[in-house]
Order: sequence, then structure tokens, then C-alpha cells
Amino acid sequence: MKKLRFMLNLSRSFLLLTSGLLCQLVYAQSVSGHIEIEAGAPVKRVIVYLKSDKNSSQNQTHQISQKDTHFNPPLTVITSGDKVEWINDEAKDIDHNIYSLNETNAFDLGLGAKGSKLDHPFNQVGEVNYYCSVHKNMEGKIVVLPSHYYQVLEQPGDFKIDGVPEGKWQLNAVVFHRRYKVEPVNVTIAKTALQNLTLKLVKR
Amino acid sequence: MKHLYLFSVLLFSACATVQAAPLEAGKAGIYGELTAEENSVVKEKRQQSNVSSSPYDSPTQTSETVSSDELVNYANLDDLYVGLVVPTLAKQQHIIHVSTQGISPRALAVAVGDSLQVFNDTAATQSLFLTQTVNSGEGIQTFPSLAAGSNATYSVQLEGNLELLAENDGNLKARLLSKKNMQVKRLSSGDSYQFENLQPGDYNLIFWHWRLGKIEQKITLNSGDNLRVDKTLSVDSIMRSR
Repeated sequence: MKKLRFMLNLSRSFLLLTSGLLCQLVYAQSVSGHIEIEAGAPVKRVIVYLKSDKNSSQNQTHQISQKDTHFNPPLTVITSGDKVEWINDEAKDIDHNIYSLNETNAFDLGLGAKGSKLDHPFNQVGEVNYYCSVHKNMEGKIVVLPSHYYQVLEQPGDFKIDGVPEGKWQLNAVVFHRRYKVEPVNVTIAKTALQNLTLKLVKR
Repeated sequence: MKHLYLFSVLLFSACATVQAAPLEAGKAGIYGELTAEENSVVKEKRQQSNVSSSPYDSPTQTSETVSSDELVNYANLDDLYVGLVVPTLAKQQHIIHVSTQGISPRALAVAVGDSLQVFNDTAATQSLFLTQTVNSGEGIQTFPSLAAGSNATYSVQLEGNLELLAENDGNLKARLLSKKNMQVKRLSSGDSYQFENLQPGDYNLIFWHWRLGKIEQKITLNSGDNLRVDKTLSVDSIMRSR
């Protein structure tokens, strides 16, 4: 009887283990294509990204330097749920304040002396402009994306995003030139890579 | 001598206090002073460390570390706005200059329907457009191309937090706050303002600076009221008001 119970437990464990492994066998593919825009359009930086209903990315912390009274990098691209850490790495004793009065993500992190680190989480997708209230040229921008599947392009052109899990996604883009907008494309990722997609930028 | 100087300063301050203008019978008014101020954490630390000769220096730095050109001089900010939402409003006209240095003024509070007289002082044709800011909407208003050296007048149709941008030059940018029926006054920090001879009723008073943000206050005026509303715009006062 004991033997039978042992065998049953063993087979149950085996089934659980194999089904768990099968659940984790998710295909990851690359998604590539080209951004189409009218010739001569004055559009520069674009962030192509993929958005899904079921994102489960690991949250990360991104660091921004404040050396020489500049936020560096001036543009930080993160994923919803990530944290940003501002490091006061000035060589001299200079304090910095970090604040944003953004509609969806307002914060005031107080004053950070040389050597300090101040951080803030970002849970809302969107663009956040932030400033130092002490130094007038200290301005920075954070773009909060819905997933960590993205590519920053300095000019509209070819894009390729690797390691995208299978499922239904929307291909979209952040266009910094406010005269233009993107026409999002719905895509399904299965067992093969998606190639030659076209993402159109059109005038608003 | 020092006491005499202090007395003179106090006397001058008392004389310079905000005075309410006399009202017509049955009318009401609002007046006050609008000031921009540094963040309270900066102010507190400066007071504790007792370092700086200028109230706008960073608390722990000496004059050698950062030139004063790099600091926000709140006492000298000259693009603060106070707006009053008045149902019967005469449209205002605002003048804007577009040059290679940028758009001047860099911030402007307007009412929907106000006109913008835009001077293109650059050497190139400019295609300007108004757009709602990224997180506030998708609205856009495009203006006809404006030849170099010419000017034209456009009517503002969008409402909200806006940007005036040039299609071919990313450096040309001005921030606008646009609201229906808003009468605006542009002020320097510490200036007084006045809206006189208003009909009794409910009003919305708006204080705004493009980088510091906006505070709105509802006001009820009865006949004969002449209400004083002073306001300080700072990062923390804006955060508290949200």
C-alpha cells in the first residue's frame, strides 16, 4: 500500500514538473521592419516599441548622473514599474533638487547633496519632463513604455526588436516631433520571426 | 546708520504695498501680489547653513562652483501669469516674435479665441503649429506658413497645456496655457495685479508659470467685495495644491 502511494506521488510530481516545463516553453522571436514617412519630413528620434495586455517584465533601476549641472542622459527610456535613481556625482559641493509637475507623475524628491542618490518609481506609461529647481538649465525627460521590447532610432528607418515572446502585440512608436503620429500595427508572434513590417508616420 | 537704513527699507515696503483700486457701486474686485519662490527645502538648507549671499545660490556651494547664470533666479522671473475666468470677456491680442534665438515670450497664458500676432524674425519661412502637450491630449492647430520677415495674426482654438512649435526647427518652442474666457495679466515676481469692477459671482483665479506649474483658486465675490489674494508659486506650493 505504501509502495502504491509512493508511486502515485512520484507520478504526480513528474506530471507537475513536465507540465510546468511545457508552460515555460514560450517562443521568442524578433520583430523587424521599416518606418515609412514622407520624404524630407523633419522627424528625428523615434522609439519603436511593442505593447501587450500581459506584460511581465522584471523591473529595473536606471541611473541618471547630475555631473556638471546636467542630467545625463537627458533622455531615459524605461518600462512601467521601473525605478529611476538620480546620482549627485558632482566633483564639487553642489546640491540638486529633482521635481516634475507632470500631469500623471508629479514628484519632488527634495535636495540631494554631493554623493547622494534619490530615486522614484514610474508606474504610468507616458512622457515625464523633470527639472532641478536650483539650476535653470537642468532639464530631463523620461519616457515610460509599456514593455521593455523597444528600440530607439535616431532617425526613422529600419528597426529590429529581439526576444519578443509569442502572443498578440501592438507595434507602436513614440514620435518626439509633435506634428507627426504613428499608425499602430497589431501583430501576432508565433514560431517564426516577423519581418518586413511597415510602421507609418503620418502628419497629425 | 544701519537702523536708519532698515527703517527706510521698511517705510518703502509699507508704501509699496499692494493697494486696491476703488470700485464702482455694486461691483467687486480681486487684487494681490504674485511671487515666485525657491523650493522650501532649498530655502531651509540655505538658512541653516547660512552660507549664501544670494538667496538663489545652492545651499552648500560657493560662488566659485557654479556661476549665478546657471541658477534659477526666482526674484527675477518675469513670465508669471495671473488669469481670471470671466464669462463676458473681451478677446486679447498677444504678440509673439520668432527668431533664431527662440520664441519670445517663451511662455504665454491666453484665452481660447485670443489672437496671436506672430512676427517671423528668422530668415526662413516658418510653419508653426499649436499642440496639446503629450500627456494632456492629441489636439493640434496648424497655422499657414509664415514667410521670413512677415507677420500674421492667428486665433487660438485649443484649450489646455499647449506648445507652440515650428515644423522645421526643434529649437523653436513656447509653452502656452489656454483656457476659455480667461483674462490674463503677465507679471514679474513680486508684482501686484488687479481685476476691478467685476460683477458679483463665482470666479476661477489661476496663477501660472511654465516651469513651476499652476494653482487654481475658486473665489466668490459679493457686491462691494475687494478681495486680496496673494500667491506664491514654488515647487512645493504647487505640489500641495494638487
